[in-house]
Amino acid sequence: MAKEKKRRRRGPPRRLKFTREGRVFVFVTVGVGAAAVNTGNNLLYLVLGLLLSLIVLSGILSELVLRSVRVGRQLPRRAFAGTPCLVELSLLNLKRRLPSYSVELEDVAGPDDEGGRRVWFLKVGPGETQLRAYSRTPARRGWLRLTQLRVRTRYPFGLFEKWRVIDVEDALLVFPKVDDAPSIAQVRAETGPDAPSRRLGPGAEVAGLRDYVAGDDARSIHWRRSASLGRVVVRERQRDEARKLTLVVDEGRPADASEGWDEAFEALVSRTARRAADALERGAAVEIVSRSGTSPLVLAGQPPDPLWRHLALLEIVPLEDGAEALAVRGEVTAA
Amino acid sequence: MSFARLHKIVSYVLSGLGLFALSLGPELELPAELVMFAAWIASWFAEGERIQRPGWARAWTIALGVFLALQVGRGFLGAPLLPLVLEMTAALQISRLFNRRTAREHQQIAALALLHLIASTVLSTEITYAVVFFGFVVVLPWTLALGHLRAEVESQHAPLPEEEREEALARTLRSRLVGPGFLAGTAALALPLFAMTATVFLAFPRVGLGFLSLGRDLGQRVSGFGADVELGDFGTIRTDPTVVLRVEPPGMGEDPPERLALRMRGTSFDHYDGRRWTRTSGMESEGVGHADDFYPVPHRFPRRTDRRWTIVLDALDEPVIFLPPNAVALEIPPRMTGGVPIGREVRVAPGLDVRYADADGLGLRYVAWTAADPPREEADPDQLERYLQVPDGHERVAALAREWTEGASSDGDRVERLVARLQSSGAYTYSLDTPRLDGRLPLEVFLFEARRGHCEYFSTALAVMLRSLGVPARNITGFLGGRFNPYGRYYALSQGDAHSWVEAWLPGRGWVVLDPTPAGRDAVGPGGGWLSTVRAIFDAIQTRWADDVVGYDLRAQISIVRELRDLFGSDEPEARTPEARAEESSWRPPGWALILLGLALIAVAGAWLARRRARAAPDGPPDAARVAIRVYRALDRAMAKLGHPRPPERTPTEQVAALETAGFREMDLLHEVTRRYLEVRYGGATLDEREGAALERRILEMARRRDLFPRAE
Repeated sequence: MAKEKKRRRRGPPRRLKFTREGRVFVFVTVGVGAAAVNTGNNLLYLVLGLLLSLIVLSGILSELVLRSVRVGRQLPRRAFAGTPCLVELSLLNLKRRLPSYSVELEDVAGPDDEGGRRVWFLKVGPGETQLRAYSRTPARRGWLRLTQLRVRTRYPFGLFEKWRVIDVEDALLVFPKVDDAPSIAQVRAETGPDAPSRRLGPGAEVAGLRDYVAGDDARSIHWRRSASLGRVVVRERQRDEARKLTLVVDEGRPADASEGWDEAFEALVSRTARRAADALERGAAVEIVSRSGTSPLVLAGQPPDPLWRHLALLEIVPLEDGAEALAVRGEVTAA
Repeated sequence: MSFARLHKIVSYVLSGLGLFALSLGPELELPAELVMFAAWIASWFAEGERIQRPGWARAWTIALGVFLALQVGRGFLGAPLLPLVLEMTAALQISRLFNRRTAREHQQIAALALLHLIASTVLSTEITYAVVFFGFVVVLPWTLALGHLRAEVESQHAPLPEEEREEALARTLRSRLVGPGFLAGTAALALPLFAMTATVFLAFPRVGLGFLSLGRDLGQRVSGFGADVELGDFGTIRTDPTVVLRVEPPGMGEDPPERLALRMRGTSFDHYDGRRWTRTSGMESEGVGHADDFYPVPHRFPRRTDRRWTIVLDALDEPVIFLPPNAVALEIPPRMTGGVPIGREVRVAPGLDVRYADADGLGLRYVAWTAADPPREEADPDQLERYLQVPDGHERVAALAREWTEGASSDGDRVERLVARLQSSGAYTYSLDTPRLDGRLPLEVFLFEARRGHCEYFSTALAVMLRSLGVPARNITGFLGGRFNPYGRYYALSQGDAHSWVEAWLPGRGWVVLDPTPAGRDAVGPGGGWLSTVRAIFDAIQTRWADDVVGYDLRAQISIVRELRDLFGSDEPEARTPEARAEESSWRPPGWALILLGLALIAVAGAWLARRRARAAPDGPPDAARVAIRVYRALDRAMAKLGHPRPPERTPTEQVAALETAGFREMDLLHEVTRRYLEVRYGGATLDEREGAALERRILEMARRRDLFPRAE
């Protein structure tokens, strides 16, 4: 347990590499050392001592910068494939007295991430938290795993670059790219928040009158008509029902699919995302049906996020020869 | 103070220290130094738009090219190489100062200053180098840190559009990014930096290979120790307070007297031509053999009863070894070359002219052993004959000698009478005013007319008079005096203590020291006062610097190790005889050096042990993480059993999302297990066995249910 505490206190192991200036510095140090050994000149030994001490001091100070800092990542609420989004990184300096100078945070999304997503903090005072944002453009829909943050510094002398890797796992669900072209023409013109249906039930429209039976809500009694008819009658109402749009996306790739099928599928997903959003805006309730399941039904006027989420997680399923196309019951619109 | 101004100031301090370091040696002529420092000051005012113009930088490049061509030309014409190179590096620094636009130029300024510091290690070994060096210890971290911050700011703003970048840079440079706290903190780093430097300095093995010795042949000029001495040359420097010799005589005690008349014999002259003392040609010197550090000069190797005089001699233009009275032996530490001690080349010429080969121009620290009863010298008639030479034209002097010794019965009696006449009769007085000779013989003017003069007149008069009476005599030059330096605990003998006296051969007594100079000499020496105190402090520091830093070598390192062994060893140190001491250096490391070395060794050993333990520690997650992994694996197994295995590439969070999409009905448990797993595995939280077992139970119960996913329609 003590070992664990010690390890936790020190944090992950540090890594080190020379900067260009550092390589020159070390070269000069080696040169001075060689000259000192060669000549036995004590003043050269003194300079050698100074140069070596600067290297050691550089290591100690950079350690102080990297130690006792807490890093965090704040993901955007929404991210779309191919569209830049801002990721916020935070640095909290837990040291009581010492500021942390010149700290760089690099966000790493797995081992094959090309990197380059960095933010830089010139000075973070003791106990202070600072936020910086960088722009990231997710390449494709689906889960984007952000696994690590590299805390890096070249402080104090720029001789070495020292960093530690901190595991900070986050997953960002990247929605599909939403097609730019409007798709509203493909949605039926029946609009309105509450289109009446032929079924009876709670609703705004009155369907007719009937005699009161025990158990009817007293509020539904039509008092004027009851007075004129001489018996108690109640209003019957039509059940309200919005238009429901079911979009079908078949992620099954036929065995004889052409080379560009995957690309065409992504374009379809993109178009579907657009259509779903437009339909919701136009007053339709929307759901998406795919081989992996059916998305939640999103009512009109609600954000399309559950639908985009469904689309984001669609994975292409290779089909065997003769496999049937996706069958959907009910009122559907093929996406 | 704004960041830009602070950076400018520290860059100027550092570059100034570097240029000052270049001027420590004599290589740069005064005009060059004046131009250099004037340009350094002028460059302070060069800033703003002027230095941003492209033509400005181009003009400086051309000027540097012209200067380089000029230096090359001077080199071809035979000018010494070192000054040319130093001037060129100074010109480069001035050029950078006039062109300090970005962090890059400031970094170049720091690099050139460091180069100047390195170059000056072969220019000077004086204490002024130490002052410059400590200046670097304080200022260099400031300069490097500020330069780095500026470079980072520039680099981070580089991707911005030009106008935005300029504005952002200007804002940062105007800001108070660093304040007194930063400066104080960085300056405080000078202490550990110095401690580390000292540790490296002490611990780095001294195995100088000597392939390229840049030791310089420099030293104080002191008249009187060369091949000849003109009457009047020697002794006129009576007021010069420059310290030449530092002597720790035996038995100084806790409270030694402020002044002592320490007589340190330098060399002797046998031939006087009426105006000038010389050594007779043909009196070739002979090399002296040695055993360990011991040289049997003038007589034999030291014995237990002999007394030890520690002497620190500054580098002089004549490498003479000065001896106290009754010296019998010398002990001189060797020079270390390639880690091997190389004995000093000591030569002795007739007349007891002892010299050493001065290879490094660093002066000499040595021990002279004296005996209460030194061996009696044998008379060599041929040698004595040359000490009877009297130049022509000194008949009147000889007559005066006879007159003063009339009635004396022995040589000893004659000697006493002559010394008494010159020294204490009152007829002759000590004076630094050289009598006007007008072509006449100096002794004639001194004895019969002026009746005043400095030590050389008195000693020459006595020597010539003794010789005219048939008593062999030689003129001796050396030092007489000694002011106690309480800061270094030694007696300092200065240039002003240079003195001349006589040695006369008396049958049965050998060479006897005779000093005819009146006591009035003491009143003419360098004054005291606060200036003298400052000089004493400075000289003590200088001596420590020369001993502990410039003169530090492999033997000193070995000596430190021995001291440490004695410090930690349980055995009582044995009484050491001179013979045993022959194995040791006369150098004694300072106490702080031992402490620093000890701390450094402990730190290195501690770091090594810690690293070794860390390596030996079993790899793998801590205990809490093991429980969390076990629980999560149970969940993985349960989900696989339910037909929803987690693909290897899918993370726990992705698995949660996938199962949620699939309509999994126990999302609460799934969320809880995944959250706890991630918290423990990566967030440093803990999960004890009880909680882990409870989660596993719930997972097992869940796995038994059949209604966890919606049925396919």
